[in-house]
Amino acid sequence: MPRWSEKSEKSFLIEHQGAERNICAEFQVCRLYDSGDIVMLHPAIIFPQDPTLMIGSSLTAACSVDSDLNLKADDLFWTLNGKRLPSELYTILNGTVMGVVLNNLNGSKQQSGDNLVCHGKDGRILAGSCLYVGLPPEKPTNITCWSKNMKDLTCRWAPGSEGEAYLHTNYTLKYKLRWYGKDNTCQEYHTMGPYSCHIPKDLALFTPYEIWVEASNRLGSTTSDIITLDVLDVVTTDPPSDVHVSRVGDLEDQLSVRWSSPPALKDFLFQAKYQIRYRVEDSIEWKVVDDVGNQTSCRLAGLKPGTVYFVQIRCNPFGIYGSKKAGIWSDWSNPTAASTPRSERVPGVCDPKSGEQNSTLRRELKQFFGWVKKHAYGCSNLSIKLYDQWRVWLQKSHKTRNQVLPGDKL
Amino acid sequence: MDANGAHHDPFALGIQQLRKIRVDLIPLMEKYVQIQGFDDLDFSRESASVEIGNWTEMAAEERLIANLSAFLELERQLKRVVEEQKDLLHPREHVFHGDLHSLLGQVGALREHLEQIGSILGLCDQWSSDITEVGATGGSMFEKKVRGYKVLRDLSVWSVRSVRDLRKLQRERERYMRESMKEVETLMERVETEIGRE
Repeated sequence: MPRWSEKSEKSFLIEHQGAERNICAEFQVCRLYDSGDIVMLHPAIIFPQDPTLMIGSSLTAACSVDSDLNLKADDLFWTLNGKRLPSELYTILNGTVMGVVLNNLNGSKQQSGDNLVCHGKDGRILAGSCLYVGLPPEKPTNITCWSKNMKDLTCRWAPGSEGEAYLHTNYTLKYKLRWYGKDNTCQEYHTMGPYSCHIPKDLALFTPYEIWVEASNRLGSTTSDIITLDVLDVVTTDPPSDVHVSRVGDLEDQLSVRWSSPPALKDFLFQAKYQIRYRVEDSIEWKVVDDVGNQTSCRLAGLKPGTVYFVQIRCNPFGIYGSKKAGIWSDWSNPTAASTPRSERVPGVCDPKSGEQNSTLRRELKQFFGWVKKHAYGCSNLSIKLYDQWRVWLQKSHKTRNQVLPGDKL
Repeated sequence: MDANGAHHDPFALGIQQLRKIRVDLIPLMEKYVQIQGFDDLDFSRESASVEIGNWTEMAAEERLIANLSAFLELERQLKRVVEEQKDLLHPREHVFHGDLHSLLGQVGALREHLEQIGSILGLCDQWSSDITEVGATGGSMFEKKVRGYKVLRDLSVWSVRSVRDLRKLQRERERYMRESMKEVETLMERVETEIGRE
C-alpha cells in the first residue's frame, strides 16, 4: 500500500494543480479566470489525462470533484476497465480530491487505452482517463517488395512483436534512389494487408532504390534495416490469360492445357517460365507440374477417367532487360475446369478376364510411368508423343483382344 | 407491409428504414463496446438524452417534429463521432469505421425521409436541416469514447421509439383518410339524392 507523507502530498497537489490548468486548456473541461480560479464544466476531472506509460511503471492519478456538487472525496471510488480498484490504493488528498496509485502496470488491455474511471458513491461515472501502457516499437523486419508489370512497387514487412501488442503503431515506408535521390514517403498503406504500402508511379528503372520502414508509437520510434533493390529484379506479372483445358481425343487419362503469355510484358525483353497445378473436383490437394518451361501449352497425363479437374497456371517473368534475378511468381490464374472422358470399358462380373486385363494394364502403366519419371518426367514433347503412341497401340491391341474374347467364351 | 406497400406508404418506408438501423446497430454497439473496453463499465446510471416527457399526449405534428429534431441532432452527433473515431480507431478496424459511416448515411436518409413526411403533413420549414454544424471535436480520449457510446445508445433508443411514433402517425393518417373518404361518400349520396328529387 502506498504511503503518503505530508511532503509528497503537498508536492503532488502543487503538481496536479498545474496539471489541472493544463488539462483545462487542452481539453476544455473547465473555465480559467484571470484571478486564477478554475470553474469546472464537468462534475470531476482526472489528472493526468490520457497518460502514456511503459509496462511495469507506476501511476499516481487524482480525481478532483467540483466543489459545488456536494460530493466528498471519500465517497468516490475508482475502476480500471470496469473493475473496481481496492480501497487500499486510494488516498484522500483533500476534501474534494481522491488519489489512486497503480503499481507495476500491465500492457493496455485494448489499443484504445485502458479506462481509468472515477465514480460517485452511487456508481455514476464522474470522469475518466485513458491509460496507454505498452512498449516502444520494435524494428520492422523482412521487407519484401514486388513490381507488377514494372509499373509500380508494393512492399510488405513484418512488425516487431512486442511494440505492436499494446499500443497502436504507425508505420511509414520510405524510399530513395541509392546515390543521389531524396527521401520519398509511400502514401497508400494497407493495400496488401496490414503491413504493406503501394507506390503507384514515378519509379526509375536501372537504378537501385533504398527502402526502409519507420515505426512509431506513443513511446518512441525505430527504423528497420535498409534494403536495396532494382525494380527490374522484382517484377511480377498478371497470371496467364486465356487458359483453355480440353480433352485429348478419347484419351481418358489426359487433358490438354494451353494459355497465353501475360500481355502486359509483351513489349519487354524477358523470358517466362510457367507452373501448372491441378486437382480433382472433390479434393483440396493440388498437384504441381513445375517444369513446364517457357511453353504455353502442356499435356496432363495419368489422370482419372471421367473426372472433373481444376487447372491453374502462373507465370514467372525473369531476365527483364537482362536482370540476373530469379523473378517473382504471379498469382495463380482463375481455375479452369474440364473433365476426362469416361472409360469405355466397364469392368463387370460377366467378363471373366477383366481382372486379369486390369492387372496387365496396371503393370504396363506402372512400367511406362517408371520410364517417364526416369527419362522425361513432366511435359516434354518427347514423353507425350511416346505415351500417345503407346496408348494408341494399347487400345488397338485391346480391341483385337475384345473381338476374340466372345469366341473364347463360346 | 411488403416492399411494394412501403414504396407507396411513406410511413411504412420510414419504419423499414428504422428497422434496418436497429438491426445494424446491434452488432455495431457490441463491437464498439469491445473496441473501447467498455464491456465491464456500467453506463446504466448515465441517463439517455431521450426525454419521454408527455410523449403519450403528444399531437401528431409535435411527435413528428420531436422525431425530426432528434434525428437531426443524432446525425450531427454521429457525424462528429465518425470524424473523431477516424483518428482514434486502429487501421485494422477500417471495416468497423466503414460500418459507422454507413450508419451515418442511413440516419441521414431517414432524416430526409422524415422531412418529406413533414412536407406531406404540411409541416414545412419548421426545422433546420443544416447538419454542417457538427460541433467542435475535442475533449479527452475518454470523453470521445463515451460520446460515441452515448450517440449509438441514443440512436438505438430512438430507433425503437420512432417506429411507435410512425405507426401512430400512420394510423392517424389512415383514420383521417377513411374519414375524408366517408365524408366524400356522404356528400356524393346527398348529391345523388338531390338529383333524384329533381
